Amino acid sequence: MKRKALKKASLLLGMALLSLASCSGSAPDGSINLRVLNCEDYIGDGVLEAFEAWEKETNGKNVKVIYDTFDTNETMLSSLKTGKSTYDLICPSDYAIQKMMSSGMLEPFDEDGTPNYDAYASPYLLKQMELITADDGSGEVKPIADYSRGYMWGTLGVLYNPEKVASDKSLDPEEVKYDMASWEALWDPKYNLEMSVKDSMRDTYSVGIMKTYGEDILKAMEESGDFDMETLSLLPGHYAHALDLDGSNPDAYTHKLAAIFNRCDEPEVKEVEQALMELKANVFGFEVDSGKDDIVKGLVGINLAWSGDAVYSMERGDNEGNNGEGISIYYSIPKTGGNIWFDGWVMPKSSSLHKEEAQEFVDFLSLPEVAAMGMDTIGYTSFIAGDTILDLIRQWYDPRTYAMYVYHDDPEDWEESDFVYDESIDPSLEEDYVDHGDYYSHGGNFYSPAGILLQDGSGEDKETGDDHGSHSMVGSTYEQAVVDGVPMGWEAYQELINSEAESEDDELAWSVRDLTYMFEGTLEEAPATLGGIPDSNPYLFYTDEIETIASPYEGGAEVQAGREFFAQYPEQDLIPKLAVMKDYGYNNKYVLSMWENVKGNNLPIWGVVMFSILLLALLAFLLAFVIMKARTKAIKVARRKEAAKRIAGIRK
Amino acid sequence: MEALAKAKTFFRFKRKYLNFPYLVFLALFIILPILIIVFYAFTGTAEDGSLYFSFEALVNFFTSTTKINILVVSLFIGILNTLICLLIGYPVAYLLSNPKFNKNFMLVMLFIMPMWINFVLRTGATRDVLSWMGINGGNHPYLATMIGMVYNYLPFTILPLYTTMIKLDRSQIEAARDLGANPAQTFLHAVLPQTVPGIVSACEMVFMPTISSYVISDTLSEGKITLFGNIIYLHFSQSQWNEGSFMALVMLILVFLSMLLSRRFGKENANPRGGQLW
Repeated sequence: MKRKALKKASLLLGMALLSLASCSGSAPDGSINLRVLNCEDYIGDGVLEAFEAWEKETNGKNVKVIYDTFDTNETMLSSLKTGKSTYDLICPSDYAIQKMMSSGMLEPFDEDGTPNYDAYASPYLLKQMELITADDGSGEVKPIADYSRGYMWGTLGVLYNPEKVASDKSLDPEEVKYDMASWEALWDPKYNLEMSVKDSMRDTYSVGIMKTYGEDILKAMEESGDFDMETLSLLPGHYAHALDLDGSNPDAYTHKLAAIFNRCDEPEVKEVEQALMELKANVFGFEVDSGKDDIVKGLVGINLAWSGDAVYSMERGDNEGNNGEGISIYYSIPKTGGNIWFDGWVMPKSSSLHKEEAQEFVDFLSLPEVAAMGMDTIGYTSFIAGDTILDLIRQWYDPRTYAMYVYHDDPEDWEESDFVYDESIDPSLEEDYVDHGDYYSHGGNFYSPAGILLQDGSGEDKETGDDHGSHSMVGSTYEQAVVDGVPMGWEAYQELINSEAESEDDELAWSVRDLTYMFEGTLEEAPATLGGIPDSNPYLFYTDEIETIASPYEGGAEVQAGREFFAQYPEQDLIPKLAVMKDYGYNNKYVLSMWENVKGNNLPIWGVVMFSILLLALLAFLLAFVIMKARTKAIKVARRKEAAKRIAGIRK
Repeated sequence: MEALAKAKTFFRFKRKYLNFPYLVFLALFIILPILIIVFYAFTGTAEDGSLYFSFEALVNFFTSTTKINILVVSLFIGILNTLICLLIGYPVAYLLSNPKFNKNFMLVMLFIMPMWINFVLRTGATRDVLSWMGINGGNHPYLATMIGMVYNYLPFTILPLYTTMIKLDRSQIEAARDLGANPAQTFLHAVLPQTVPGIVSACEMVFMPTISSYVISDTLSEGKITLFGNIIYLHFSQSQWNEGSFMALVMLILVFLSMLLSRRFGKENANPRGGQLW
């Protein structure tokens, strides 16, 4: 699987901004300091400098970004609690935003303060932010969307290496792939000591909820009537009904799921505790950040992972796993659904808040070009859609890109092909290559300037190659394949290739993915009649990473297994099955005590009693020893005194 | 006139004024934080964030089987670690201090050197080595943790033992031999009593840090063994300052008790030549 070298961004504007930044020089006096507090490793390379340059260009302001990072929401919250905020912008997670808002710490965004964000943010994610509400400190309940602007989002799912798990447990890899489509698999003794889960209270609790209340979730699915109860997939045409985007359907499935997913009363937490105790006995261990490397190293075969980490692991696995041979790691959101989360920018109230500049910063980050730079560096998925992001995803994941630009009959050869890197096309790129050498790894994942070759300076698509296997693809576009001068649809292209294929491995298995939820309304031109295939509908994508796995058990329905594209952009059918985990509020103490019990009960009760007795015996022994010593000493002293007295008496 | 002279003598520089910066440091960074811990340990936090006097944290601590469980396991791991470190460290220190076996300081340096590298890094490396050997937190959490603990705290045992042992009164050993004591008797009556201060210091430096450490157990047991330090951290990170402070106080009292006990031992057996080390 060496294809990932093709994951490159055409970041023309981003590059232009970068070069702008380099010539702007040092900030003169009278500049404003914008203080930003973000998660670690959570911003695109060069974005801060680009913002300073952009701010000068567009608004004529000298803004200097002072950038700090924090490691977890909890540490950030408690450090804010102890002191006055000295930041203009902070980037916490969904529940932390809710918490901060309800303690009256946040300043609302202006309604028209972030026009780019309003234009390019995904409609579905905006809706999710409307659904989470909190009392903003003044007694009014408002959605957190008024107080924050989304930045990155993702899911919590199961990352697994089917080959490793299968060989460890002598199973069929297909069976592993099938099992991983269910949360129950984590509890299955079949996978004993094979997986690590998150050492993070909220994340592992959410998994416990999905397992403990799985029956309730299935019932809610059935009652909603939106799902095929055999495969648990959404029935065609039921997306809007299940999701309730316009707020007209209070009984929508997504609301019911959110209610189940956010259960945290004492008895409910107790039930989850039971489940998590069982989970603890079955897992390899708990981790927060070592898991993404452990799975590549082969220490674990299954890992509970956030989608961005999952993408990182899959990329690394492809390139470095198994001593460079590459391993295929998969990502699954089990078919009953799971957790969707997002991080957003907030402005804490303070007298020194630079509200205007803070909003401009968020708006700059919401430019699709800048968002693409961020996605490229971080690996998480941006809130922002739009044409640049569409291009980015097409170049990363779309098999049409490979068909147009890559030799498909000789996969070993494409690394030397023009597409990947050829300085003869534009010698100036050589310089960029040196400048950005850090980000470029051959066959590696993230950004490299070679990606620019897809487009030339005029913004028009570069000519597609003319020597691709036995066919010339000159003139092909994403809308239409041109094979040896004959225009045809991409579906016809697949049929053509498959009819010529010598073996099954050479055949193309493309399927169509629907990402309307992400892109609707954010593209510059979306045709009036879109149609049902990606050739005419830019909201649809071809993908070749989806595998359909037949049930190895009697009577089971087939499931799908996916990889990076699936991790970054879950398919539309999955979207109503994802829920945000809100702040537990008052119930946090129950969840905390649950987590303490899960993590802390190292020993069974008899062990504790035995150890306590041993400890007490040891203590008693030591005390006895000390007292004995003191007493012998006392006796000795007394004797000596007596002797001295006697001697004195004799002398007299 | 007289008053002026008095004032002059009062403000005249005296040597004890040099203590002043240390006193300020002591008050600000040691006494005050302890008082804050005590304050939070005996208060509760109301919904609006205000504090009130209460024994909630105390009651919570002593009624929670989990917390007691964690404490007992931590104490046990602490004792076990101390014993193993002593068993390994004592002979090593003895050999190192004997000029017959160790002609220069290099060997000692080699044993002490791990202390120079950050222990988080070392623990990460230990994890890799152990998992390569087939021992990991998944299958042997206790074994892996103990190996990591001993590896990390061994230098802290060897160093104080070594410093007392180089001051060992060799004439006592010779005398014991001349008087017909066998090697075991020589060790028990001539060597061991002289090294008690070193043993006490070694115990102090290993036992309490083991209980409060959490990186080693977290990394090597893959989060399966929770020590007292972990649970205190968990409460602080979840903004449960009152309970966290109470547990920190319990830890403080434990440290104090163990110090008291070991000082007692140290005094009883104080070596007039070697004296107390720490």
